[in-house]
Amino acid sequence: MKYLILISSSFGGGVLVGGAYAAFITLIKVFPRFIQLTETKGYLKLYETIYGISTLIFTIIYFSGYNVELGKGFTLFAGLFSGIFLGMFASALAETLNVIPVISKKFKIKKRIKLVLVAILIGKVCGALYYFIILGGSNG
Amino acid sequence: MEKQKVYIGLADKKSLDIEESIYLKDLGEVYCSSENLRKKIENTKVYTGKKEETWDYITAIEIAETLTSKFADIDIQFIGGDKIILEIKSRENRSSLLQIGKLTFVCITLFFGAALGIMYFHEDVNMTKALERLYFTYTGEHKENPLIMNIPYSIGLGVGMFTFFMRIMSSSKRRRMEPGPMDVELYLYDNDLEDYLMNELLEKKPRNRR
Repeated sequence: MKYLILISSSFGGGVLVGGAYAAFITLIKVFPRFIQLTETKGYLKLYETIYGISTLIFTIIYFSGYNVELGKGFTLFAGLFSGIFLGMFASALAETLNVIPVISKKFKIKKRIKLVLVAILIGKVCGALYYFIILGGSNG
Repeated sequence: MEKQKVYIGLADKKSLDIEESIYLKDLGEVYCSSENLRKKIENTKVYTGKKEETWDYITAIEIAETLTSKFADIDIQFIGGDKIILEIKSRENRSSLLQIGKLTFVCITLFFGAALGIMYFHEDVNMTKALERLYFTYTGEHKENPLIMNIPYSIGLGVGMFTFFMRIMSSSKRRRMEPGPMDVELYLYDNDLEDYLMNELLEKKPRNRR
């Protein structure tokens, strides 16, 4: 009985979190953007599968503490691609929340919206570098 | 002589090659009681091809103008949209190597991105602690990293994501054909894009007639 409750509650929690995670990524339209940029319309299913599998694998890794030794060079590679994704994710989130259109309308800079985007981009990169290098991340 | 009634149902969008001209039959359906006249109308050229890749549009009015100048005794009825957006793109074979490169890039980005995203979420909400708390609630024992909760949670996460993304699993063929939420989102995104382009085109190249 004890085990039944434990398993069913954690399984239910997992389904909820997984569903919410998938719904969130759908809502902010990251995938359509990727598809538009690379003109790979037929591969949506592949992308979804990769995304789901990666989430599953890294959930298991998160709890198990399993590790592989791929060397320091690999972290550069993984870091770069995680960064690209998170950059798109954050921008897509800001876009979904209509931050930029509202600001550009308030300040009447609709024609120069590209400059605003470049400013945000530089600000984000500088902020990230400052956080990690000068403040030393969350340990600083 | 009484005018012939011609019904024309127009599509919303058409993609064509560079220097490809459009005949009315490419843009939609034509109905008219005389088969002969229908063939003639269908093969009327309504748009002359452009030399470079671009976006353009054609309106029902322009089609009506072309048709009435060619056929005197017809009465045209349009059914459907009044503007058609034209996507002019070269259909040369894109190298499959580039395609594979793009695919790999997107797949790698999504893989590592999803990894970072889910780790980030679990760290943020302190999932290990939460599951330990739940374990204590249900069993009254303290245990670090209770596998009996972690493993079902992980499986549940996978199940949740795949049931969200994948098309419905069902014995009915109709149900299986229904699109997933991401497909719908993609379609909406494309529609928004076309709406925007149409709006831009109407602003930039308004048809100055008369």
